[in-house]
Amino acid sequence: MKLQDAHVSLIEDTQEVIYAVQSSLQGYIGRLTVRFSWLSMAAMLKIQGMPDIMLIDINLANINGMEAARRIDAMATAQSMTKPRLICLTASVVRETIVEARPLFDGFVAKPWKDEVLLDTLQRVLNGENAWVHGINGRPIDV
Amino acid sequence: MDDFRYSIYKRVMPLIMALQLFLAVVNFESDLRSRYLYILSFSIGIISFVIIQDKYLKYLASFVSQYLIVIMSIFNKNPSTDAIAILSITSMLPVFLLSVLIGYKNSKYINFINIFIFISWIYLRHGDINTGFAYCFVMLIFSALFLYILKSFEDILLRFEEKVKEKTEDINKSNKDLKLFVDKISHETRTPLTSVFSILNKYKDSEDIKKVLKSLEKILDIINDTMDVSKMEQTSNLCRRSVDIHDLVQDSIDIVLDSCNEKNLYIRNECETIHMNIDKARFSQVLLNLLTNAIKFTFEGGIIVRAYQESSREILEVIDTGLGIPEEFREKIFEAFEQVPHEIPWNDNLTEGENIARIPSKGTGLGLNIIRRIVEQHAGRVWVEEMEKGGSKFIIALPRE
Repeated sequence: MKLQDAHVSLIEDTQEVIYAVQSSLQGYIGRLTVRFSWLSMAAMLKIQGMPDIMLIDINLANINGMEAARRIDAMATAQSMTKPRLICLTASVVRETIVEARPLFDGFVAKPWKDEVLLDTLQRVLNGENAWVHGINGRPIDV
Repeated sequence: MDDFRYSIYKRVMPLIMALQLFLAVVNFESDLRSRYLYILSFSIGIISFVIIQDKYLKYLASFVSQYLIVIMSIFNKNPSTDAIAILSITSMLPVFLLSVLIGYKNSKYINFINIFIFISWIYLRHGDINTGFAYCFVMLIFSALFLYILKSFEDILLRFEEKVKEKTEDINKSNKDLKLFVDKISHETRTPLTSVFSILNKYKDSEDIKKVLKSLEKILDIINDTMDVSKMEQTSNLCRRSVDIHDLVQDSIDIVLDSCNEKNLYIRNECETIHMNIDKARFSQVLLNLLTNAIKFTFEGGIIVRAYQESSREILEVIDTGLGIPEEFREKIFEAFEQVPHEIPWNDNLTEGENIARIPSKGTGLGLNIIRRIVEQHAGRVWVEEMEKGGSKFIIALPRE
């Protein structure tokens, strides 16, 4: 699938990051939907269906990004929907976070990022690859 | 303080020994040889005590002379020498009590020996010489062991105290270094931000540049809050004077009024005209922090500020109709870097852009901690309560002067 046709959803509760993602992806993807929390995203998914890719922040209120990833997996299975590709978008690059995120996400972009790195990661994940990179230079993240 | 206590002790002891010497001199009932021996031993004791400078040797000199009296009285069996012997032993009691009261540790331990010797003397005086000597010998060994054990404990405690002192000094030095580091980082970060701000400000008509400037202001807030906390840890000097709290609140409201109007929130000053003895600059910071937080987390309704006096306290309240604070966070939020993980509700009646625009900025997590420090510097207390119909009430109570 091409990025220009993709539906990307973002779960993020920091205004500046939302604006930055919108700015990076504008004109390069099919559609971007944003929600601040898992609860509001789950309500949207039930109505609109699963996107192609979900960008998820780790540090969300009440239910963190890891738990949100588990619930997306559970929801997709329960409703026999195609599970979206999940990318973790976070400023937390400590070893524990990366280890916990490995089995749950298909990609990982460490904030801050350059547009080209984020777009490249989205395309690679859409192609079925796993992409774990530092957002500023695209270098792979090692555990 | 140890020197002071010791100086009391070394003045009292010679007086007691001088009294004993006097009694030995006037003891005409005793035989001449015994009297000379008594006089000699008391004299040696008193002279040694006065001349010898070392504390432990002083004790040794005084007690050796006392023991000699006890031993002589065992063999003399004279009622008047018994009296001297009893006086020797019982004179140790006020010395013992005095040293316990004034806290001179070593004399306390050594005086135990005298109690054991006195018990031994009782056996010896009543004719049971073998048991008495055996008891005396055992008591001497026991008391020496006891003294050794007590001294060892004292040494261990002393070493522990020294280690604790050393560690405390290390921690204090680390804290000082950390403060210097924070101050340096804060200062060095502001310098490049200055040029970024001044250049970008020329293009502030652009929406994208406005967003960048807003993010930069957030970075500055983080730096300023960090420096505030660092400053407050280094000094707690307040510049307190009588301040009209109604006027102070009004000044703070004037600063945040635009933010309120943008969100269609009301803000009211319901403070009585009372004067509080406070540091005006610090309390302005408190009010601004509270009002900014209230506006940030309130989406409809508004904010009220009240100030009034009780019999023993002056109260300042900031009440909002916002998201409220769950009970489990009401103590924690006053600690550094603690924030309530508010889930911002999605409003289906607004567009995605309008919903995003409503998201409050996360802040540093230091604002309420700074408020608490300032209030505590004023000997006051700050806490938060939930309002019945939702929202929060932050309350500051200061002692009324």
